[in-house]
Amino acid sequence: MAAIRKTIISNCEKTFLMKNLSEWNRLDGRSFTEFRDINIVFGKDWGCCKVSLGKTEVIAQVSCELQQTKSSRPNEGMLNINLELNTMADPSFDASRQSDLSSQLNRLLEKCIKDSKAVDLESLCIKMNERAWSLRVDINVLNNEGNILDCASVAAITALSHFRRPDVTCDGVEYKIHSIKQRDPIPTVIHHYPVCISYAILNEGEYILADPTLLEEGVAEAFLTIGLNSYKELCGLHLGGNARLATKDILETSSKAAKRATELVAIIKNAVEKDTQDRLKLNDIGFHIMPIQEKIEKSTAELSICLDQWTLSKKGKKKKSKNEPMDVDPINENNSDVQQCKETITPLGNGTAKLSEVKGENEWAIVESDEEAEVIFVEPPKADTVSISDSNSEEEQVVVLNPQRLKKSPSKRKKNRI
Amino acid sequence: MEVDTLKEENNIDRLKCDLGLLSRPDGSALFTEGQTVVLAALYGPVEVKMQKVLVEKASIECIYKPKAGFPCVQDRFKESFIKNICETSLAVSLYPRSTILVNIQEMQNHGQLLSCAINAACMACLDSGIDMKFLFGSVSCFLMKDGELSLIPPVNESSIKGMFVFVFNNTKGEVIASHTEGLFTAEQYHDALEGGRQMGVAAYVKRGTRSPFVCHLSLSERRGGTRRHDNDMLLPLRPELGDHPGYRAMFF
Repeated sequence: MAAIRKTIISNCEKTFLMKNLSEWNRLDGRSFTEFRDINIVFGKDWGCCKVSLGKTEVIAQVSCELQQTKSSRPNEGMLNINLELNTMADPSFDASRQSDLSSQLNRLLEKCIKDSKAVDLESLCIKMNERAWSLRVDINVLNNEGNILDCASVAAITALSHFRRPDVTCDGVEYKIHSIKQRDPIPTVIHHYPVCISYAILNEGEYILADPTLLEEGVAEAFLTIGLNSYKELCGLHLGGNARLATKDILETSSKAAKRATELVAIIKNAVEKDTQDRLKLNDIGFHIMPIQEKIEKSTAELSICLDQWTLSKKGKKKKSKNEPMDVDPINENNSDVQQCKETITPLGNGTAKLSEVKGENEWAIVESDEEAEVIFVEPPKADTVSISDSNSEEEQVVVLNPQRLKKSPSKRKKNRI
Repeated sequence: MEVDTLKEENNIDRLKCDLGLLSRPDGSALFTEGQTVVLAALYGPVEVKMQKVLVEKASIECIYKPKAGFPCVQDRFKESFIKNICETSLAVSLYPRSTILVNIQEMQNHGQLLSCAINAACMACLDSGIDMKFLFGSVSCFLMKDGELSLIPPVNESSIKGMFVFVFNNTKGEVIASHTEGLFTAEQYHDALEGGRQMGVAAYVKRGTRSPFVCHLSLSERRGGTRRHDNDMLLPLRPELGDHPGYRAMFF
């Protein structure tokens, strides 16, 4: 059966993304090597955390049970990592069936965390050849906005380092598990903190994007996932898809990833440390006291990204208008025209309205006479002429569309160039 | 009445709801009842699987995910319980040959998981703007070993003798579903039902004016025909909004 409810990426979206990438822009305003913000929140139980990477969200919970040791490894405990792709995260995911994506992600996580021996399994053994702890990490994806793997790997290792198992005693025959109230629980020994860092490869290796979003993932030709710990040791490398990627690019990307891994591990360790301190102070911790206000800040942050982009495009135009001083006046006139003869919305009654175009001379027609197509922007009403004395060019007059933004512009321009 | 130890205000404080947390689903809600936290997300109406097509109405799929381990029998029970409630409360006949996916994710369990999941599902339905016949609200009631009834789960789990979960609708405050666990007498059941009706979520879902979340939600009803609301909707305690015209308009 073909995938049901799959989000299809249209050609328009694809070309738009590629065009933006060719101008070294990403749709969310990040640079190619920039990652989305990561946020870790702990639940009330040990070994429970919610990790969000941008809008991608996962919840991880570690659980443990006593099990018979494996005959092949009689002195070791067990570790299972299970990533569930829920319908909640994406309607095309089906929890009841094992998809290619879920087995691939599970295997990569296993490779990164289990096969790199990050967790000390020997310390989980209670009695050789008899009983050992079996740890199980359940990761549920809540929201899929791309790059589930990075988010899940951080969640898994955070949950493992946060987890504490109950104390157990053995009188020779019977094993007694002491509840958390009776005896202090024991933390898990973590040797190192491996994390996965993913890159999307587009246009035959020309663009390598860190932390791809859902749309970028859909358009990408290949993915490069690098498992690394804070000591810059490789814990897994996976290159999927079909891309002609030079060895040099892989090496370069992995050295960038190593830097990111160090940052991530520091974030994880800090978050766990802070949580332990809070618990020692007997503060109330858990999802039930999650701050709600956070979201407002986020949405304004997104807005400011849009505005940044907007000023950037305007600045580009300003430079052009410098070169053609003759254009300046007509534009100014246009602006006032634009304000006046916009389409008007006439209310027709209960909850309905009509959008009617105002007849008269079309404001766009005047602009058409200019050579530059980019000048066709509906400008904010505060357009204003100011002479800039410190500019090196010979022109006396420059249009400054928003005088307040002028002060910031040099630094911003530099930033955007990078 | 044995349930008189609780003040209604305390109960409102114990409930918290946050809408539109997730960007992918059509509607999502994080519902907190005391220390129990459940996340619900709703997609719908969406494409239906061939084997689940119903020609005269939408089919409802409820997926409950525990935080750890594989879904077990209790989880399947919760799924079918919530599915039945959604089938009665959503206007399913408006969306034939489609499906409505109700996803429930346990986040933190402190006793009231089922009632919290039901409330979260209701909030997610509201957030998505899907057509509903009525709202529903659920309340858990705990019967202690000493015969006392409480709406708050006790610290010591072993002191619970029985548990009741009631689901009420907001039109007449009728019971639309009930679930019980443990041993109790018929009298205790009626006491718990009455207590739940008076103090619980149902009471203020019905009255509307007293409910912190229902009031605010009423303002988010399908503005201009769009399904999405602003993602940063907050749910402050604003009882004064109860008489907003949007409230009456939406909930018939």
